Amino acid sequence: MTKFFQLVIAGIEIGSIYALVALAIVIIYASTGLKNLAQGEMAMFSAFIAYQFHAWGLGIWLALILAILTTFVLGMGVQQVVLKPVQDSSLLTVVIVTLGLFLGLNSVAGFIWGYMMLAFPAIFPEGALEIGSVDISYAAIGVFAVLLACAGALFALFQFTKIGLAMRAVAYNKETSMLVGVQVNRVIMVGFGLAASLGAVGGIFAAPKLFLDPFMMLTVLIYALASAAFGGLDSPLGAVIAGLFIGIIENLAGGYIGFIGSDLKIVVPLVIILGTLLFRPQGLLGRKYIPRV
Amino acid sequence: MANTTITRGTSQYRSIVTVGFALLGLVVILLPFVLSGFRTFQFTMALLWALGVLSLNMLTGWSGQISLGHSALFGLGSYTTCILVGTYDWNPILTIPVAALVTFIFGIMIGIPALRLAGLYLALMTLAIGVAFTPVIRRFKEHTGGSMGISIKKKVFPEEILGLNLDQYLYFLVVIFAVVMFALARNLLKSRVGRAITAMRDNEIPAQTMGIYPARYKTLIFATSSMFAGIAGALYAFVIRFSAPYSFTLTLAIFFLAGLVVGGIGTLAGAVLGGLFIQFVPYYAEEINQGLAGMVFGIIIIIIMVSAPTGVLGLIKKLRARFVTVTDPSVVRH
Repeated sequence: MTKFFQLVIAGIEIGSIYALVALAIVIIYASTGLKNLAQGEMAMFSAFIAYQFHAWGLGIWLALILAILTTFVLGMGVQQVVLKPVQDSSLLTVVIVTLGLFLGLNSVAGFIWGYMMLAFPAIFPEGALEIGSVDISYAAIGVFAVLLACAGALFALFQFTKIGLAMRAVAYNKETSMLVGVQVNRVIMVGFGLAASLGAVGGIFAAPKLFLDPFMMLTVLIYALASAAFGGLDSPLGAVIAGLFIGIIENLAGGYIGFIGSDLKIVVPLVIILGTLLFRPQGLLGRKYIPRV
Repeated sequence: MANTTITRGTSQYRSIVTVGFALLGLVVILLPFVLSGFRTFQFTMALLWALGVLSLNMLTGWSGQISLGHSALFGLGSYTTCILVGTYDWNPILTIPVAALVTFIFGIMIGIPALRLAGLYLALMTLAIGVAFTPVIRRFKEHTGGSMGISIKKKVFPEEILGLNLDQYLYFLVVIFAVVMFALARNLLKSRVGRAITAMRDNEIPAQTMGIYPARYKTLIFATSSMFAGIAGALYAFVIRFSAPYSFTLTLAIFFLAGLVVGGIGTLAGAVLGGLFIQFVPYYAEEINQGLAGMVFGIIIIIIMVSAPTGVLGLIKKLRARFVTVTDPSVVRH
């Protein structure tokens, strides 16, 4: 039983990271229809920025916050320079551009910080809460708490603020929003920055556990994409639930199914993506898309 | 400068094309004798990448289906050859049809669920395959050599054949395969199948009403595209004589896509340009800094997609169109 709970806790810890990146993906998709395959790399880049701020002497939490703010601005910049020119082009064009971004970010990170793994300072205190024979590390509690805080803040943003309302309007129908007076371009820009910041949170909190190198977020991206697809590409709540779910399932499968072990764990999101796309393409909570001729 | 018009089918056109191909052929044949062994090897590799780009072009350029997993298919071909030759002592040439068959079957297996997916979801699924290839190979280390990879001892290939050294005859082997495969691809494109597929890409529902079964053709092109990638992978194993899980990562899949974009989506000659690009850009960029190659790639991809989506070949065609117009003969009979 202990093993089971231990695996579930580990699942929640990593699942929170997946959920954060999945949230970023979903927000961009819902507001712009853009599927950003570079989300993981953007998160990785933010983690490096945080690392750098810390290396320059700032306290870890200050470094974190500065990195997130920097990412927000950079995200808006990327949207304006790279994505806006192609936003009405074919899907292939957009995918290729995001892949170009993926490559570019990966390489710039390698160029600046090299490809050796760096140790990212621990954000939460070492140690764990002991309940019976199960250890719940402070890091796990911390990451989960951060996820809840972000999800809560996002909810508040969407429900209670004007900009949140504007983002929901744009996500629902871009043309109509324009007619009603919403500054669609600005909203999209801010939305992208916001999503980039969410991804940054995910990347930064993943760094202590996954060790910092330019390829850190590669597998996380797959899990996050699986979570986003499984939860419903236009449902933030779905992304969070799916992220946690996939984190837990991945750990349970790795722990209990010997055939999978730790090498084949990535097969789990693959199977989930396939299953979702074949049997319920709109995911758990997404809206069904019916193409019309 | 005045714009001259050349009509396809005339003797003028035919002589220009013949001279062009003759010159090209001359360059290709003389290359390994003029350049050093290493440079010849680089061009051989560039041709292999070009075949990879060609395979992706069939899927993405002709049929509009995105694949981020072609690195896995390429790797599958390579591993097939390495395992058969390295562990079971097969004759290398015989492994090529096996690699082709294996990847063709895999292509069908991927192509069938792909029918239900479109756009992003297909990209996701192929992305997952491309990423999953590396850990799956590592997992089955009894057969694949795990992280250490599997290699073919050099003695399997003779030092010399017909007076040509190893680099040279491998180059010619790859050239022959490349010529055949490009010719096959071109014929496929111009055939009924090819036209059906491009019709589907342009507008699927009208194509269906004209009697084209999407399922059949989409799966077929997926399988064929995979087969081409697999053959390229098998040849890669001939040249490199080593397969490792980290040789066939998502980065390679992205490079293929980049090569496709840069060369010109949907074009055949663009695949060769793409292959050259994949081989030589990282080589020179790495001398400056290891990360630079990807950065250059990434920036070039973005710039091309934004400003010249038809790729370098598209730009060349536009340039040529300023001076020369190539038209088809008029059907009017006198």
